[in-house]
Amino acid sequence: MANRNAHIIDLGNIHVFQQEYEAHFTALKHFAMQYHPDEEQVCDLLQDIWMKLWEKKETYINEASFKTYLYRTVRNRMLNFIRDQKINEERLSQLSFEESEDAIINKIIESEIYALINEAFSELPDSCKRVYLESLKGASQKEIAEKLNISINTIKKHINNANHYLKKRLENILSLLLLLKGY
Amino acid sequence: MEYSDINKVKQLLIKKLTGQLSKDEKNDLEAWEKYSPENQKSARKISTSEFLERAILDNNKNLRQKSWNNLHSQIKKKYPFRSKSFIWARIAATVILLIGIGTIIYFSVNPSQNTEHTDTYTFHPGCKNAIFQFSNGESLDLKDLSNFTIEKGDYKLISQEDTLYIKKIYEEIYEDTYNTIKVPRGGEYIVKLDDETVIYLNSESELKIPTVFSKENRHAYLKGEAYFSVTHDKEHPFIVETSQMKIKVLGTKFNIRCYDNEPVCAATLVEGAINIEHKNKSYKVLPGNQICINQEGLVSNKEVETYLYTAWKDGRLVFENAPLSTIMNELGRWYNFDVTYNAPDIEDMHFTIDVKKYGDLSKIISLMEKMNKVKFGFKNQSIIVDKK
Repeated sequence: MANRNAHIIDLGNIHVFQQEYEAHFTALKHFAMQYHPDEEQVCDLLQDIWMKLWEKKETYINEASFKTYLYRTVRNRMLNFIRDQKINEERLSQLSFEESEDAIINKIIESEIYALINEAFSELPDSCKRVYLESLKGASQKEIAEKLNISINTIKKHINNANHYLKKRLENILSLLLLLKGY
Repeated sequence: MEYSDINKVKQLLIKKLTGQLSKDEKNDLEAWEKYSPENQKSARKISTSEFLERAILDNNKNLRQKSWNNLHSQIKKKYPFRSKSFIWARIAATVILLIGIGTIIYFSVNPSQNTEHTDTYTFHPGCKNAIFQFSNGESLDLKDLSNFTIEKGDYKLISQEDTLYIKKIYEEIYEDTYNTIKVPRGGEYIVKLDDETVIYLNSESELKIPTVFSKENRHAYLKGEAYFSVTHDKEHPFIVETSQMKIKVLGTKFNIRCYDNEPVCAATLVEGAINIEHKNKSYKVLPGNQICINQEGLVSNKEVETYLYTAWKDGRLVFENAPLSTIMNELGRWYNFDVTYNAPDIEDMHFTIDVKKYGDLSKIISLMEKMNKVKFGFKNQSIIVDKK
């Protein structure tokens, strides 16, 4: 694992293909929704892109080159879609002509952080997520108790559980990011 | 900015969110933010409550599973020849065709041969097959997979020589999540846990185990049938729970059979010692003994030939003076068929059988027809039993 940069991605292998699909799903969805906010539509478009990727069966020499290609493809597809639909010409011109390389990269960063947070919380129960979210927003335990109509003890339990769990999850994510330095 | 910096920035931003930035890192991040108004905007956006709320509550795992299923079926529809299972199906079809031609030649050359069983039916024996369901709801079909490694954050799955190893990567972790291994009818599977405990799962069984099997949490839930070979650890008992009983183990070999659609739940001890808990009472089981709990909750203990109850894991189907109903249920589970009885009392006929379970069903069927006044008919996926 120490040298993930040399990691070859063979998209002709269905298992590799599925792994990549799942690994990028959340971030790509968020990234694409910056261009067009309709989730269902975005999922359909992403489906087309992955279908084409499967047809091509290309091999990428590392994760970075694959991601570069992937985000670029998604962006182009979204811009074409907006153009074809003539949804918002003003928005299109703003996006396609004025969007700098850095702005695109920032969108990628935001999307990947979105996916990391989403993934880190994914295994916690919904009630626990809500309590944690309220406390992140700075609400006191008493305020949370009133808003969500649950006992202070339950809140303490949820926050403790979430803290313990997230600490581990985020540590894993951070150490993984360290190993992925090359990207 | 270069692509190569993305990960560094991601790391700093995550650390900022969790309050783990060191002083140097804080300076690095500030430098990045000051570099462009875009960067500043991004950094601000990530810590807004709208962004966090969406990121935390967005339920992607179901959507992702659904989308993948769509895509996968689209792929299979469009490119059936690429699919591994399709190729196997073609090879299997060719083999069956060849056997068929062979059979026709054989019977035309040997016209005196008993041709009672020329009805066309195929009931294939079961095979290594299971669905691995991750604690987050995702699932993985293990049927056509072999020799793979999948990393799942805290643990990894390694498939080697017909056994699935579940190995942890990190020591202490959150304990309250479980993975489930589901073995369908006509399937069997072997799982090896991090503490070297080996579990054989029989058809139509489900095993729920902690995502990471630690010393402190050696707790499993079972539906159906499984054979356990548990690694000895005096301080940390291994616990198996079923709908009827709780089995406490220190290190031993035993079989548990607890199907929801069967009247009796049985634990058979091969070696070592186990304790059965049922309705707040504890029963010690001795090697070579079997404890049964029936639907009324009555507990009984008897000395048994353990081979009869564990032979399935060694590839055999063994019945000793067992009623036809028991035998047909078991065969149906392995060869995946349903049974109907066309005559009264027929279910109570008794048979003794000991055969390899990877062979064709027709051998077992004709063996039984020779042994007793019974005959079998075939219709679609079911077998009709009648008196001869």
